[in-house]
Amino acid sequence: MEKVIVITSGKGGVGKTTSTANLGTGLAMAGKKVVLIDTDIGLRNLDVVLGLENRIVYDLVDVVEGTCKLKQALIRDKRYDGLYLLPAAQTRNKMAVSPEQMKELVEELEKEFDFVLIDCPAGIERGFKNAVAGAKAAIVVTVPEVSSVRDADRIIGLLSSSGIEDVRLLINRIRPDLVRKGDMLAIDDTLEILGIELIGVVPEDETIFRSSNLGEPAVVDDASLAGKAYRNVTARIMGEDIPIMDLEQSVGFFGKLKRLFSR
Amino acid sequence: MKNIVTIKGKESGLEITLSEKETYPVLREELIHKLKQNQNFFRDSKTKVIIRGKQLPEAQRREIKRIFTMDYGINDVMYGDEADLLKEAELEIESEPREKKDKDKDDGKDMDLVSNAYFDAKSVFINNTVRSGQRIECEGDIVVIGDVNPGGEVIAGGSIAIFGKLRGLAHAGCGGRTDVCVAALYMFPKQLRVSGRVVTFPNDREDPGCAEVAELKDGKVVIRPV
Repeated sequence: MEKVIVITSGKGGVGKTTSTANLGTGLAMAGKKVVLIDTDIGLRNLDVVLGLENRIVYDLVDVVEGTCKLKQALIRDKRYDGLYLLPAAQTRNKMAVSPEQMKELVEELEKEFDFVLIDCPAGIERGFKNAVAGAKAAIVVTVPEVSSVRDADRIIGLLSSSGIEDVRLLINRIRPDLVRKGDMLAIDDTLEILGIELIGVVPEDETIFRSSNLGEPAVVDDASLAGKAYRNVTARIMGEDIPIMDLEQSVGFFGKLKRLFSR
Repeated sequence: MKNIVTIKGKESGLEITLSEKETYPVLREELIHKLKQNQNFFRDSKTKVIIRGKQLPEAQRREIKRIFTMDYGINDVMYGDEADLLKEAELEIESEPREKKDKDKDDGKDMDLVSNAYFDAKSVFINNTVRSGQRIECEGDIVVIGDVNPGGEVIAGGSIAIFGKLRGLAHAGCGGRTDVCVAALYMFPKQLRVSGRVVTFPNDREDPGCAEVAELKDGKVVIRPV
């Protein structure tokens, strides 16, 4: 994939920020130099999910306004070599940055990093325009639910009208048991509506909640199913051809036992 | 002082140009003065008047229009930009639509939130999927090679053919034409409009497994296999 990737969804709460944190960490673990940009000015979260909240001194708006140098605002994650975060400002709003400024900023970061991941805010207004301004490719995150798929569809249309051709789909928080019962949209149904290439399917996983709260992305946890899914997506971003994980088989012994009793 | 208001006779009527350098009260006084001098211009109340030059706010535009209506009985007063718009619509110019131009002016090369770039075209051929939030609108017929997704809208003055799945909104004959139809390989819209009729589809509609056409028959929307 291209090296500047925006992670977006349209709808809120589908896991853009969690995905950005996990994919960024995954890429860094694979030895890449990665910078994550949080463009959700006013509602920043990426720093919290990464556990870097306490280290913010300067932010995106400071860089754009020239209050500090770009290098000063970048936070290096000490746990993973090559992982950097450019946090959003919390006390400003999205109008503080313009798409042109974002584009310039991304072009500068692009020179130094292997990957630039941009965490997009929900919505299709200024924040979205800022986030996609410098991006060359996009990962659209959706949960298997009609409203989220509808918004993803809208976003795909907007991405293509802003000139981003390489758009991949990440289906998040899927629950194989609900899909089997017909209560949740299946992967195929989602793909049929959206008609773009799938980059990964991440199952609903309790470990995600814990890892987000602790500020340690699940991708580093070998026992986490979602973490494994994110590792696969990371590999696909780097160009490896890995088949989509079969969630049915990876339910595990207890899952099977639970299913046995729930019948 | 002489040229702050110029009045010219044109084949379509009178064209009045207001100097951009003057303030509104000055222009109004001068305009009233000049109109009084040239009352013979307005023998016919059907005379068309177009006002160009200085951009006036809506309230002042109304005031000037009132002068024409009250004193000279002329109702057909337009401002330059309105007149241009009308002319464009009359000629069905296939150039860039006005809406898009306005948006470009607002914030540079910003993307369109609602794509409506085909509004002025006679008929349109769309060679991709119409996604949620996109709206294809045209006075003639529309052909879509691809799906129309939920939330996408295809609105035609004539007929619509969709070589794909119709799951969004389709409206054929939006200008009132009744000799129109909507055809799709897979007809599962949330709502379908033909001319003035609106039909909704049940969610559990059985898949007929073939292409279908919806058209008006005796004032009702009838759907039949192709």
